[in-house]
Amino acid sequence: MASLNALREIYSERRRTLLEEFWRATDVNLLLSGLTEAADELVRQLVEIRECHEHLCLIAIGGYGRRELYPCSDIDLLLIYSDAHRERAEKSATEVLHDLWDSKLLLGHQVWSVEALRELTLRDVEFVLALMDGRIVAGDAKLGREVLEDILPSFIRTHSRALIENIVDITEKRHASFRNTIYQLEPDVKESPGGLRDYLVGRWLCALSSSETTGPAISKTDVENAWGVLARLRIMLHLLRGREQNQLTHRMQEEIARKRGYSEDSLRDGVESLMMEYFLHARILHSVCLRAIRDAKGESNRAEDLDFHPDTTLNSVSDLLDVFLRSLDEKRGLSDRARARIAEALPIVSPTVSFPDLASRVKKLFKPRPGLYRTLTEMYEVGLLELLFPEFGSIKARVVRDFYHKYTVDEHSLLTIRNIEKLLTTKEHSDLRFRSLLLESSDSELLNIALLLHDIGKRSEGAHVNRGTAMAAKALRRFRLSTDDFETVLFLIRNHLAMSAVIFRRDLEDPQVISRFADLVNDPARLRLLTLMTYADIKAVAPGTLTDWKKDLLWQLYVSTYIKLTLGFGAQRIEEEDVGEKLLNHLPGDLDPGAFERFLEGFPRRYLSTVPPAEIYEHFRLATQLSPENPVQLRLIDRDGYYELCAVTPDRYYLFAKIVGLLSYFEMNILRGYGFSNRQSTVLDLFQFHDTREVFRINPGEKTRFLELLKQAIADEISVEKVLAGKEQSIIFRPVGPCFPPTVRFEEEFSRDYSILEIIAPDSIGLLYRIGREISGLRCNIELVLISTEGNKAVDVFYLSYQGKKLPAELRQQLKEAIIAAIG
Amino acid sequence: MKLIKAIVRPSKVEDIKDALARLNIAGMTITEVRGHGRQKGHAAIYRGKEYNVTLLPKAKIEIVLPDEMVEETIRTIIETARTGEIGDGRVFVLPVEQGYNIRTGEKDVT
Repeated sequence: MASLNALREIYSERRRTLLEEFWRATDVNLLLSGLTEAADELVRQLVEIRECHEHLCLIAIGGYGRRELYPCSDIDLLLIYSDAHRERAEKSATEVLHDLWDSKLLLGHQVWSVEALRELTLRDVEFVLALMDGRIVAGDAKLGREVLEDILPSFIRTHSRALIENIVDITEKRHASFRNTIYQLEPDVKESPGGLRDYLVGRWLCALSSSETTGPAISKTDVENAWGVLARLRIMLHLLRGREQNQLTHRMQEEIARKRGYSEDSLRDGVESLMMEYFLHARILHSVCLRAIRDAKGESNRAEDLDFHPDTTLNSVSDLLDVFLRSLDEKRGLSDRARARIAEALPIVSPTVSFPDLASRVKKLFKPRPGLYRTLTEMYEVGLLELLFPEFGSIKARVVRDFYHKYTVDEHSLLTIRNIEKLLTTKEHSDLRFRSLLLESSDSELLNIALLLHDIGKRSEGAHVNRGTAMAAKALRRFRLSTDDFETVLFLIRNHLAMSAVIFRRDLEDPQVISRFADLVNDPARLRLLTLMTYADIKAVAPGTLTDWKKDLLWQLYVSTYIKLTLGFGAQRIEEEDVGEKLLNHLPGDLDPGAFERFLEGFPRRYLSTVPPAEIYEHFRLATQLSPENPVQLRLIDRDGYYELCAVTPDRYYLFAKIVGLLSYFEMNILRGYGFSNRQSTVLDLFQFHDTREVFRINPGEKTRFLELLKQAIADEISVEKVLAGKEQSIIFRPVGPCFPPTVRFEEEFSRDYSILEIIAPDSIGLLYRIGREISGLRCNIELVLISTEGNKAVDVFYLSYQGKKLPAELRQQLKEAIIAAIG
Repeated sequence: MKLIKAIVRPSKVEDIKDALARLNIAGMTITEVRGHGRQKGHAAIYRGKEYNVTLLPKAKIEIVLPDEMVEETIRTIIETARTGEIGDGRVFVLPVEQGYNIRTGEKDVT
């Protein structure tokens, strides 16, 4: 008999060989069954050594029972004994378990007596499910058979309905914990919706209700293939991490791409194709699971679902399109039977998309109304949408790795249409204004067509807008839309990023910005559609991306442009000119009018247009309190949803850098910052920021500490650099995702008075501080800063001046170099 | 090998245990301890009199790990134990020279 050490050695050797073989051939079944056999062999030998095969039975359960043992998964063993031999069995069980532990096996074990198993209840549902895959590995087979062939089947017979309900319940809770979507930036290949667990749920439910695992549009081979793809990923994760990790984290996505032969230069392509493969197959497993759940709940062929007579002809695209138009008109989903008929018909219908009223029926399909998203998704699932728009198929499951978009490009596009659909019935206060735009738009179906196609250019790397517009033009020509409709859809696709670019990167108070944008749009109806498009597009990036603050900015741009298009700027300018007069008339009695006038002198006009009068008085009041002993005046106000910080101080460079440095230290999400200075060299910096982590709300003392630290920093009593160092070096705040070289560029055309500096860099905690420090180091003034973050990418736009004018070319170059050196 | 010592809120221990279990970390020692950091305890009223509670109850979690798992473990502990309020605790990392299994007498080989 081999010694324990020798057995352990043989087992390790077999594992090693199997794992090496896997990296050569990546054969999933060979590895999983091989690991199972190696573990079986070891368990059998140990039972042999301990001579306990008479009163103890070892049953493999769960994945191990299914012969799907992953490299770092637990070996789930059930040890069974009979109460009559309890003492001997317990002793043997202890010995065998110790041997297994000493063999460094990852063991998950349960010890039950046969008698106790007869008392199984539904509370043990997870255990029952694991037992459903049970098989005898070693020991007393008679005991094992009693469990697997008698106790378990009779329990299942009595409780099948309750078991089904339990599985459905557990699965729905699991899906909900992932927000019910397969689209996770870092999915768990086992637990996420669409993961391996979904495949199992499908199998369990079908086994319990003796029905088919697959259904219309999904073949058995597709499902098995999808399982194979995810199983292979799970094995790779285990092997690369050396432990049971099932989450496909950003880092692991890169490591697997490297294993698949991608070099550092092409790593992004590698990750994108890996994730595309993942989502394509996760969709299949997810849909198998959802179908099984629908069947289990008796929801697959309900009387209210749309069905059609067996004699209905489905010979052409036109016939199929009619089915879906009917489903929309009658507000009824398709029954599974109807779906199966369509899936059967689709491969044999003529692929030519041409019938007399094509344009009007396509427009009818895309008219915003409840149920449109569901209908388009169903059309996509059965393949009809791709038949109509083959261009849309080119972005199927396409992943663009920007750490920002949560969904694949195709799902993102469909979600934009759902966002428009949801606007129709929204009760959300901040959305009502957009709803009114939608109701005013007579050609909103064109908006939906544009939304479906807006990102089709993303099928490959590089600027997607022009490519997408050209592809869309080709698609639209097939539908013979009128010239006006054709131009409107193309205009929307071509300019779908234009409003975001202005909102997040340009000064909305600057009339030139509005005027340029108005020239681009040139028509209030198009402006409405483009605004709605931007709304739907940002909202479909990820949950929570379209904040109320962003909605306000979008609305502000819409309104300013609308006024410009309809009235022009004339009226506004006159108001602006006598604003100083008006301000003086309402000056509170305790403030000196002469000093107030001197205070205002030299502030840019935009100060008066950006800040409401009551605030201006408060700023003046702060300025009057400045003295050599009190060189800084600070005011922190909790506005509804965000904070506003005002700092007034005699001209001090580095003020901006210090403020943003400390705001970053307190983990505030800075939205925007304004810098103003007057002829007396009083500097007034205004910051709007969001306390995303609720630091100030939870710890009232932190607000005081923040202001205290800020005063000390401005007075140079402490170094912001030192304060930030601890956070900058912490692993908790390390930037997510791969580093990319920052881009720093100047934009000279957009503004007459300022140099616009645009910086795109990997987001990190001290980034703004370092940029601000370099700007001050070269004695430039920051007039305005617009801050936005897209995933791991920070986009910061600075409006700068030097001695009251734009920056000379030489200084621009110098500053560019200094910033790259500081943040690169 | 490293020893991670985390001083955390007692209410967070179960969550941390679960989160660490997901990283396949099962071996740990948990001790009930008392102490204070920057929060320096707080004043409490007992039978009408104010007295200072300077040493607050905390839990200490100790885990020995191979070097390559340290970072992920710290991250997990911090992300789980963090409420954002003062008093969330501390994490320390110490080098470990050797480890032995008492029952088998084996030395940990890393």
